[in-house]
Amino acid sequence: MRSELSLLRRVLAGLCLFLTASLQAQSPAVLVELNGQQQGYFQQPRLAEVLLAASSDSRVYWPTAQLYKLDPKQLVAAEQLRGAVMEQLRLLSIHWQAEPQVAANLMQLRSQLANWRLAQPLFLALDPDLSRTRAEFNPRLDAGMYLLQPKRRPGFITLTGLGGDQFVEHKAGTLAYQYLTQAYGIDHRGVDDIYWLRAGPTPVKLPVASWNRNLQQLPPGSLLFVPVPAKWLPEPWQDLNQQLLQLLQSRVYK
Amino acid sequence: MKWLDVNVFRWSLLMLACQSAWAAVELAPLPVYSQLNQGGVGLIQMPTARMNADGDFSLGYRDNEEYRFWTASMQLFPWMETTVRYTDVRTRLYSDDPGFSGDQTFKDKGIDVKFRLWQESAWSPAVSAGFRDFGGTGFFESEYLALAKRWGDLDLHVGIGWGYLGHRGNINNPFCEIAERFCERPSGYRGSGGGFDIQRFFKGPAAIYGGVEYQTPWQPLKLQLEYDSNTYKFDQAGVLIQDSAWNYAAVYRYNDQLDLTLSRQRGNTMGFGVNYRFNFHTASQIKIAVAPRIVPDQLPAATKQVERFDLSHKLYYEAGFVVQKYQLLPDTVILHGYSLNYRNQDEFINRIGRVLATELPETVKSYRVTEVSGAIPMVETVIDADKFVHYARRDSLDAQLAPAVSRQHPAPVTTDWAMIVDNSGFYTNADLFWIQTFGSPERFYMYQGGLLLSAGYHLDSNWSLNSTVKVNVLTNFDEFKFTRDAFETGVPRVRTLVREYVQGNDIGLENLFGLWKSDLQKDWYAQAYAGVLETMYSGGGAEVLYRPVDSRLAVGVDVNYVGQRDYDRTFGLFDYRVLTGHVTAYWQPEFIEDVMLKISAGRYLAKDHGVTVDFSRRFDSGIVVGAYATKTNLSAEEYGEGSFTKGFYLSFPFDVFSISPSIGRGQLPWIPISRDGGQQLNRPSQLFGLTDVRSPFSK
Amino acid sequence: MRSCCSTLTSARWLLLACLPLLSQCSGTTKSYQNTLSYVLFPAPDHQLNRVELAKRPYDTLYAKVGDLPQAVLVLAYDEHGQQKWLSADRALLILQQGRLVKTTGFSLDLVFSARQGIDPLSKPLAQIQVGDHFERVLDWSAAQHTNQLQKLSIISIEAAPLELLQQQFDAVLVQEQVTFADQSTAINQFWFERRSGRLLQSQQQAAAFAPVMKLTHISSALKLLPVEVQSAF
Repeated sequence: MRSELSLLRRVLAGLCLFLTASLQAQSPAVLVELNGQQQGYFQQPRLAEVLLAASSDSRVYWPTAQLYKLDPKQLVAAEQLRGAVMEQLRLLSIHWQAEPQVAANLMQLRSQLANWRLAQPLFLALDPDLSRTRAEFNPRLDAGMYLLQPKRRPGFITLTGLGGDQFVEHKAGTLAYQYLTQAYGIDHRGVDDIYWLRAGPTPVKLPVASWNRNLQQLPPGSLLFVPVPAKWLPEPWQDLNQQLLQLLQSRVYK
Repeated sequence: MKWLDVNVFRWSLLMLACQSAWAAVELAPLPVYSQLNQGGVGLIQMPTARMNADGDFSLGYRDNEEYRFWTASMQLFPWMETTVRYTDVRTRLYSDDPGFSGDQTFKDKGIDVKFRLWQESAWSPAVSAGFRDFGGTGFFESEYLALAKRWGDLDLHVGIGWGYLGHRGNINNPFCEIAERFCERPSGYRGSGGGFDIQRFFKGPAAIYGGVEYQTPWQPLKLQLEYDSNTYKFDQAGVLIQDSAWNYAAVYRYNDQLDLTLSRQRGNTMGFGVNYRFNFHTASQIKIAVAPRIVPDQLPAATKQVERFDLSHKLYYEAGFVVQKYQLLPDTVILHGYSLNYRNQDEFINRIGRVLATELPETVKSYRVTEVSGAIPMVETVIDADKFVHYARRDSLDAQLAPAVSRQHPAPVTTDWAMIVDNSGFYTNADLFWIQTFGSPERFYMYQGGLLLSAGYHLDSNWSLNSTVKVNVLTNFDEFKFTRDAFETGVPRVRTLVREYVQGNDIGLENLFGLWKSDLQKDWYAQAYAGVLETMYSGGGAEVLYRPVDSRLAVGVDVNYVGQRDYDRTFGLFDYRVLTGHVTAYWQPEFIEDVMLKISAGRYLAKDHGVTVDFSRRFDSGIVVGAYATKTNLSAEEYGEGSFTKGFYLSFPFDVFSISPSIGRGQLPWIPISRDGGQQLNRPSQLFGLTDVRSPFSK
Repeated sequence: MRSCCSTLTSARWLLLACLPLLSQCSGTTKSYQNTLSYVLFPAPDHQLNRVELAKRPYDTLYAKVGDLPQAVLVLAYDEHGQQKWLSADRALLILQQGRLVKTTGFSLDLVFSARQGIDPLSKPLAQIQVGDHFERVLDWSAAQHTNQLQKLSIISIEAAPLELLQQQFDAVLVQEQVTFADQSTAINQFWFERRSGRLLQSQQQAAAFAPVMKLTHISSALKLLPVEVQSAF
């Protein structure tokens, strides 16, 4: 009898402990998706802690690494924008039926666009060494879900525009407008400026036409947006480039 | 591209650059266009439609055999370029009288302005219109309309010139087709020179000019070719032979600041030039300063004892803040003092906040920091400790300083002070001064430099006795051949006897006056002074100023009754007495950033009435460029040479050149000519300067 | 009036000299004094004596960058085969096998270095031979200095005694010629202690526009000294 009672007490005590433990269990304050896996932090971590998880691979090229916030409201807005842009592209390609190459390029851009993952990029200097040693580069992450994309060193420049993504090999000393010429040939005539994405909180305008170009060079892995030349944008589609630029700001590049 | 120093503190620079924890990319710089002979962006003799980047300042020297030019060109706004120039005409003498000017060659000064009318785009050129030499005696006086279009490495230019640039007359003046009066250009200037001779603009023969600029594959070298629209038959240097209407040049860019030009003009003359350029927005010197503190995750306990002298010392050392009064309450700390080093308000508050957050117990939730000027509390910055610590520790991704800080008129302090630094008593100070003039008949460049030694006694926070003695150390003013010029206009000589005052003794009394100042009530300040007030005048006066905190508008009134001092600068006075005073509005308009307008109306020293308008623009580095003009009821004939008072100035913070941060400023005035009309009293104490921290413009 | 003023000439110059004293703690004068003294009297090289070195819990590196005074850095992290040395103003120099591979905290940072071939310095000292060569590609933080290819090749290995901590070290000097992207060349020098093969000192230049860096691995030198000499006064 006594041994049964003590066993019962022990089982009850264990049950109580288990129940209280599971009631106290919290969901993590911050979830970071890294290389397909989720890393959870119960207390809001500082940036250095998050980056260190990815820095064990010494071949990570931090200048092109990216940190995104996965904010549900932002994602909904971005999805709506994507839907609108896809519709615009579809209608525009129908408009240019007589120009099969242009129509094909527009549909190509549209199909690539459909597959983009969207998130809100954060503009932070990502370098675990910097974050560990300098407090001003080590902010605390707000609660929420994030995506951390450390990358290998890309040896190319990405240009996104009519026809989708184009990749040009990065060479030392090459100027911005020369990358444009290499990617598009004479098709880029009519484009006065291209946009350099992720170089600042807002895209940076780079002049590339014969009347305004300068000696701007680009680091490897640069992401550029080449606006659709104005001659392919009749009146109802005047805003297309602005919308594409806005959508690209939410794009998760692979 | 500088490789910064290991073990050298440069946090103040990095902090300003990386406040959002994001290191911005470095973009290729905007194109720098070379300067033409007479200053301003252009080819060789012909101005073009191009503009340099906002804030670009170029100093140039050109030697063209008959002419030599010293030029300073400033891109005041992205759409407006101004140039001032001194010309040395080698083939003429300054005057026919060797007793007056020796063998000095003829000197002329001029002012140009150019406006951008249209920006270049894919299908349109850049268009600018300019007025050259409009504010002087007009030797190179021209108006022009220029177009520019770039095509890869070639920059193509074409323009129409009138006046000096229109002598070739290869087209009919388009304005002449519209109205008869534009067909001939009247000669002679209005008034006594120095005015805007609008009656001559766009009149007379017109000519087309053009040019091309080629950027060679070798980056530092550019080649220029132009078609000259001037025939050199009407030049100040005499008739110059023009073998060819084509001029060409090579411009070698040594580095970002310096370029050299070699040109061949008129087919027979070589020209050589040097240009030094820097930008007022980006001019700065890397600073070596103590790093701002890091605020740790664990703040000091509520029981921490604060040693006030230790705290004062740390605030001085790390934030450049001198504490004069201190009080620590359970949840608030109140500090009165003044800033010595940091011009940037954000940096200053950031440094103070970090020291306070790590030295005071965490129960202190509010830091009230009052900046004091002239022993009067001027502005109080209230820092919310929790929000500040949140920002300083970067406890979230978008933590900003602004929500933690608010500025207000200093609230009265009712509790007793725990510590007071007594600032009554004697004080001494020494400053350097340098006066220079250009274009005098005896010698082109005349100067005087030395010390201003001050001493005084503060009785309390309102009353003081002050004096300054001027000691000349280096001067060539003793070469003056005359002290009184020959122009008798009937206007009292309130300023034109300046040579009498600056020659003479090497030691003279600058001022000796009693001063009372006070903050009357919220946003109102007043002062009164009496004694020897400035180099040329003694007397008394009073001023009242209304200036709310962070307001774009301030208004002041000042009234003075003064007498003209004797030349020996002791206490004697001449018979001349005048009641002079002004109402001044200080306005920073909303619609244009970093601009200040000061409009003063009242009675001037020569008993004339009128208004002075002073316009100044501040650039990112803290450099301020300004110009002012005064129009009074004196006619141009009564005023004399120059027609009306005008001047330019450049005010720069000293720490643009120094390694440690500091708040001092220097001023470089340039007054083309100044006579007796529209002259204000140089008041020894100005309330607007005293109350500067309330709504800083020039920080 | 004139004669009395001329006798005061020397007094005026004296006054000018007393200017710093007369202007009490004026921030501006002080900042100009600082600037002048920084230019005229550069700070001396920072060094530690043996006692101070022995007491330090962290390994120490002396770094002299260009013509700046020598600075003392501490080993902040040692991971992934890289040593990360931290300065007082929180700048980092990251070395791999004694070669600079990354920096942080400078206005122009070396952000990445990728090797093609085997770095001779990663081999034991005895196996390093004249003619060993490899290439590397460097990326700096400015766009116009990315993708910079440089070729490095060992050109000489010879005995060269080295004096550190008032002791003579039996060292081997390995000299390497580096050809930068713009075809200019420089010589990198590495001093290894003969018996242990430890790197004691190096002088290297990472790019044509970068200053020459002289790094002294003073803690390694200290550890090589006999125990009684290490703690001797």
